[in-house]
Amino acid sequence: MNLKSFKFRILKENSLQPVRSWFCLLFILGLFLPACILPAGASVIPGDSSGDTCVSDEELASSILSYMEYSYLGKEEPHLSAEELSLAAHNFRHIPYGRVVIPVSSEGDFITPNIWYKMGVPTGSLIYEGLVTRNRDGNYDSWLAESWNSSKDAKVWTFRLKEAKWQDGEPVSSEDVKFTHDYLKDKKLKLAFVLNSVERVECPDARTAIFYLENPDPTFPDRLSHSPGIAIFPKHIWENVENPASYDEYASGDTHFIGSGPFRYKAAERGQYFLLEANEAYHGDSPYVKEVALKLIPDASSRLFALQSGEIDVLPEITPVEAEKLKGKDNIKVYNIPDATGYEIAFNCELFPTNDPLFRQALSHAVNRENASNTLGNAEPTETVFLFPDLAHDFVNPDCIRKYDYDIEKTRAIFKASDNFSVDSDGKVRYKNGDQIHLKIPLGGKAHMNRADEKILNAIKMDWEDKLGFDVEFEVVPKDIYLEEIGESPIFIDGMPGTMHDDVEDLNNFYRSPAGSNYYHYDNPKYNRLMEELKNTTDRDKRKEIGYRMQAVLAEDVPTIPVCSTGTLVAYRTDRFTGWESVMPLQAGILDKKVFLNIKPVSSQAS
Amino acid sequence: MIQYGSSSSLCALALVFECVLLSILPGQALAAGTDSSFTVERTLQSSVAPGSELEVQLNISGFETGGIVETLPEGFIYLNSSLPETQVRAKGQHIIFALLEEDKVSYSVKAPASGDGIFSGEWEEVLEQKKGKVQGNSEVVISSSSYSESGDSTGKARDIVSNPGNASDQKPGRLPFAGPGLLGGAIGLAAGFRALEKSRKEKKGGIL
Repeated sequence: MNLKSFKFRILKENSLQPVRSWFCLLFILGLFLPACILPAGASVIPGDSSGDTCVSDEELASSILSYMEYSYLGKEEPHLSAEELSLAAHNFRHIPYGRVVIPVSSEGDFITPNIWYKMGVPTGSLIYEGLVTRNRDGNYDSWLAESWNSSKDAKVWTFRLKEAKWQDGEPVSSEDVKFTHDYLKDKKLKLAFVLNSVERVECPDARTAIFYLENPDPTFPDRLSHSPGIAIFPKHIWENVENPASYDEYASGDTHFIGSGPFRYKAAERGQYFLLEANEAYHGDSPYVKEVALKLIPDASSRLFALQSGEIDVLPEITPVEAEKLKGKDNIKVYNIPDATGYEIAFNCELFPTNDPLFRQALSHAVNRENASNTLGNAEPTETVFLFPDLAHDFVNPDCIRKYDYDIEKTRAIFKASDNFSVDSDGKVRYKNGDQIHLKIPLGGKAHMNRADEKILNAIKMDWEDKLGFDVEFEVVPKDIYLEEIGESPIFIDGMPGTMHDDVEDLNNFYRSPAGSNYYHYDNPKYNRLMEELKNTTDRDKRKEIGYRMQAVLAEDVPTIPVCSTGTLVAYRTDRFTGWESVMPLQAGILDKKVFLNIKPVSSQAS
Repeated sequence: MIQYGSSSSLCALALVFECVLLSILPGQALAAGTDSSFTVERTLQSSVAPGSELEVQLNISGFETGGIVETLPEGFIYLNSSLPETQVRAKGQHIIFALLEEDKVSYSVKAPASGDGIFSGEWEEVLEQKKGKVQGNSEVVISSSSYSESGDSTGKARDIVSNPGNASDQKPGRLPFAGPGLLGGAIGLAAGFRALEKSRKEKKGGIL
């Protein structure tokens, strides 16, 4: 009996009333049984009994045998469903499967505008790749470049390209590298500043690109890598685009999005989504995910709800409050990408009283970093003078760790030793003339995201006021006058990305070049000479040694008090994809090809 | 007309509801279907000597990852296969093969002392969830004068015993040549075998 005749009999034959009722019951049960056997909170890949996220040949064979035995011989033993078995086989064969959905808060976060004007790579690396990218170990991952080296003076950098193809099948060539450099500068695009030191690019053959620099640059690969890094673009596409700023990516069709990365453009709808699919001709390991959808959800609470309802699979950059709301929710986990942003109490070293190194040293002992970190939620105290140990590794001078512990008595002792200050019998610090120390601190810069600057100041203000007798005042100033305000303020709070704390080259922030002052108006000739020496040194050990000496100077002079670093909190659904946490991107965002080459679907619901 | 509250209307509603619900549920084997570009074809020798070993070959095309369940005729005993043991499970007369990235599988069985039988099999491709029946040769006859009728068969009987004394001369799919004196006997045996085949097919309804 086929289904049609079966339905007919049910509807028409009144004589089979009791039988019909039973059939109804069975049908209703049939409705819900499939739902009951769906994986409820899978966090492991079906068939992956070892839990290593790779279905082995033995694991897949066992799963297939059990499935076939159940399906064809009616044996009752644990088995995967057809959908789960399909997922296991996709994993085993490394065939992309499923769609991961990520919310973005604005259309500006869709791929292309990012590449030319904002973050560059690795943010846009799902489609586009640079030559190299730095990883958290302090080494470099090769992207389009398979090898690279420099001349002894670090003025000539040669990159050997991999054999790779653009997503339209054209080969990636050194001419594309040269074109990208020339185009960025010719069109005066924002990211051109990264290549300011490059005089020209030459292409002796199709797979060799040589950068000639005006000055030695031992960290040139670092410059190309991130914050922002330079993506390489296909000449044959972009040489015909006169004005990239006015280019309408929706109207231009898919040719606009030709990159060399692991995902390629599939579709987009204005105000809705941007959809990518796995690039099966990718020159590296292919992704395990078939599609990546960037979904526009401007409202933060809607994004939170979308994660809980399963509309999206991952929610990057949530606040500690949002993380708390997600605590204990089924199938949702929150993890932290550490050292995403560093917060510091920065001094203007030219203004009184912060032009007195003893004032700066004294205050360094009056910052309870633990308290400040706790107020931010997902923060860690920073105990070094500037570099983050987890990012800069052995370049951190161990003698400069915890040099300024939290100790108000030490603060008072330093103030007593100064010619500018005195300490009364109550432990209160005054100017020598007896006036109270009044500090007015402007807020509203990069550290103002989630009002982190305000929280940090509130945490330390009590000590400064109650124990030291300062009068501390702070107010949020408009963004357009913030820089002007901090130029006139002895103290301000700054927030910088972790990638500004990952290399001795970042100590350049305190260098007073012949061209002008630095952010801190700090000027120490000894330090400046070390910085110049560092710029001309390519040997790693020598750079490390110079870096140590520079950190020792900073520890003595204290142009800034690093307080803490916050991580980026990311929430994801454990029942869709795994592998989010096992690869940490260097930058705060998760839109990094390294992450998306690592995640793997764990259930058929990911499809 | 549907009468609300009656069993008929309940059934109709249940059917509609089921269709709607199943369409929004993610699959659970409902996506499984057939695809003519996916096939598994069996080749085997159509007759074997009693107690001899028979090799069966399964040629897979269109896919590489999935499972095959082969059902052996009564009395046939599974011996071994070209796949690692981890990819094979024998359950009585059923042999299950797990295909990881294979395009062919061969396996050996031992024929019983007498009788005949039909091999059958089903396959399922697991990536796209396609399924079907194993095609190709399926019938085998136990005959003391066995030889292969099938010109395209690549299977071979390893222990053809029509003339044990000349076993070393035998070639797959051919009668052993034992000299001019035996020619008449061989022709007679062949004729007898064809008669047996015809009789067996007629019993099944004469489908050729």
